Amino acid sequence: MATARTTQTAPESVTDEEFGRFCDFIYRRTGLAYGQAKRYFIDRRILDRVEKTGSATVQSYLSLLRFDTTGRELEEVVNSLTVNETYFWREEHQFACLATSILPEVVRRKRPGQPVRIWSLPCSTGEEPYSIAIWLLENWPDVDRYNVEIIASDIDTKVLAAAQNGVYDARSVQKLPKWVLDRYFQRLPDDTWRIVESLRGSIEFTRINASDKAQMAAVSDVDVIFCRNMLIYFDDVSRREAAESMFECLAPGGFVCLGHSESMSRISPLFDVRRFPDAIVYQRPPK
Amino acid sequence: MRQSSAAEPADRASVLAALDGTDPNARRTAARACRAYPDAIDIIARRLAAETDPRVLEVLVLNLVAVGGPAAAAALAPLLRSDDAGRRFAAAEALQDLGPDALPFFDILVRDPDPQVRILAAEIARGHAGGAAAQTLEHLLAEETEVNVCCAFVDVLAEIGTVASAPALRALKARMPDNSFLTFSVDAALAQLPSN
Amino acid sequence: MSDGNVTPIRPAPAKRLLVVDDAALVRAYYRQALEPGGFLVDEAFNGIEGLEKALSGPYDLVVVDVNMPKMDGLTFVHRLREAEEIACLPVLMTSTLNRDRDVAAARAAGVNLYLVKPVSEDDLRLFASIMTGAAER
Repeated sequence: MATARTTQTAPESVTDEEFGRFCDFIYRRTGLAYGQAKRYFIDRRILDRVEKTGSATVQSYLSLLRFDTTGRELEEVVNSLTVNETYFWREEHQFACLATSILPEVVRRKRPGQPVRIWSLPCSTGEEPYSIAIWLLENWPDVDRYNVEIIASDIDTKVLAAAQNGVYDARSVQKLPKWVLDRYFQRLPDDTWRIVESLRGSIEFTRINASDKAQMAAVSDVDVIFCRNMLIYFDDVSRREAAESMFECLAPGGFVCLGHSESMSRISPLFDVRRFPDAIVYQRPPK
Repeated sequence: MRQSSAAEPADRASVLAALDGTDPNARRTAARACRAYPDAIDIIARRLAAETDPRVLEVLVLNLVAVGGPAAAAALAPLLRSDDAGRRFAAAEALQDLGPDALPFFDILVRDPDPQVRILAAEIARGHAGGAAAQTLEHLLAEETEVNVCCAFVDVLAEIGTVASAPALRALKARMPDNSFLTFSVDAALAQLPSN
Repeated sequence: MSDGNVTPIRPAPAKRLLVVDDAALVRAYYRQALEPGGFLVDEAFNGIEGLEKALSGPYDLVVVDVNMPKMDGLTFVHRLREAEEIACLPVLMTSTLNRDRDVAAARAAGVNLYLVKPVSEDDLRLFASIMTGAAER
C-alpha cells in the first residue's frame, strides 16, 4: 500500500470508527449505503481524498467534508466512490428481475396492443438501454408477444449523441458473451464494437433534465424506469422532486429500479417496496 | 414523445373539491395542481392539518418547500404538534429543507412547553452545521429536564456540533450520570465532534 | 456420552434482530447492548429501509421506533402485517410517547410490546430474549 511521501506523514489507515462515521455521513447526504463489504475500496478512496485535500488526519478530512457548504468535496468523493464506469449488463440481477418478475406482472395489466414502456434515465452513453433491449431479446420469453418501447434520456447531449452512435470499446462489452456480441454488434476495425442498426433505431433517445417538472410531465404511462446512480448526485429536495416526477410518469403499478447501493428510504415515501428474488424494486401502487 | 394523458388543467373549484375528497389518489393529483396558485400556502396548510395519507402529505409538503419563504415555514411549524406521526415528521423534514427561513421557528419550537415538540424541533437544526442552531442546542442542554429531549439534542449536535459543543455535552453527562443511554450518547457525540 | 438414541445437543442458531430507528446513536446503543448476548443485529434508518431489510431477512425480532422520517413506525408495522412473508414477525416498539392512545394505536397496528424511551440495556436484553425465545446470557 504505497502512500505519497510528503514532509509530514500522511495517514495510512482509517479506523473502524472513522469508517463508520464516513459511511453514515455519505448515507445521510446521498442515500448511498456502504458497509464492511467494501471496506478496502472505501478506505482507499478516503485516504486518497485526505491526501488530495491536504488534510493532516482522517479526522480533519471528515470535518472538512461535513462543514464544506459548497458541496464540492462531497461531489468529489461521491464521484470517486461511484467510479462512473458504465458497461453492458452492469448489475445484471436487475435485468434478470425485469424479465423474471417485473414484466410478467406488468403484462398482466395490459390490454392487447398496449405497449410495454421502459425508460432508462439517465441513459448516459447508452450501455443501459441497449443492455435492457438485448437482455429482453435473449431472456424474456414473451418479448415477441408485446411491443416493447425503450426510451433513453439524459441531460447531456454529448453522451446522448454517443449513445445514438452506439460505438463501444472492449472494456464496455467485457461482460457480454461472445455470441451476444456477434448477434447484436458489428466489429469495427479499431477494435471497437457498434450496435447493429436495427437495434440502434429501435430506441427513442431524448434529452431530458430530470429536475425539470415540465419536461418530465411530457412522459407518461411508463411501466419500468431504470434510474441508477443519478439521484445520488442531487440534493435532498431535488431528489424528492425527481422521485415525485417519476411517480407521475409511471402507469399505476409501474416500477422503479435504483442503483445497487441506493434506496428510496432516503428519497421518497411515494413508492411501495417490492422484494423480488433478484432485486428490491419500488412500485407505484396499482390503482 | 408521448404527450401527457392529462386533460386540460382542471378548474380551481374542482381541484379544491378533490383536495378534500375521500380518494387519496385524487387528493394527491389535486395537491399537485395547487402549487401554482397564488394562495397555495393557505390552501396547502389547511389540507395539511387534516391529511394522513403519506403520499398526499409528501406532495403537499414538497409544494410548500417549492414555494418557500417564511410564510411556508409558518404554515409548517404548528404541524409539529400533530397527533399523526407521519404528518409531524413530514413537517419537521420540510422545515429542515426550508433552510434559514425555518430558523426563527426552530428557536421558538425548541423551547416549546411540550417535550415531544422540542424533540421534533431539534430535527430542524440538522443541516445547519456549526452555526447559531448548534449554539442554541448547547445553551438549552443546560436547562433541559426531559431526558428524551436531551438525547435528541445530543443526537443532532453529534451531526452539527463543533468543538465548542463539548463543554455543554460534558456538563449534561455530569448532570445526568445515571442514565446509561445518555452517557453513551454524549460519549459518542464527543467522539464525533471535529477536533479543531 | 451419547447412547445412539439421544439427539446430540447443538447450539441454537443466533437470533437475528432488526433495529429500526433514525437516530444513529440509538442504533449503536442497542447494538452494543445486544451483541454481547449473542444476538446478530442489523440496522435500518426508517420504515422504508426497515421493510427492505425485513423482506430480505429472516429476522426473529424487529425493534422499531415511532418517530422516523418518510415512514414512521406505526406505518411500518401496518405494512409489515400486510406483507405475507413477514406478517408474523414479533415487533417491539419504542417511543417517547406514553399516552394511552399511543399504546392503543400500537396494539391496533399489531405491535407485540411497547416500551417507553429511554429503554435500558437490561430491559432491551430481557425483552429481546423473551420475544425470540433465546435464553438470556
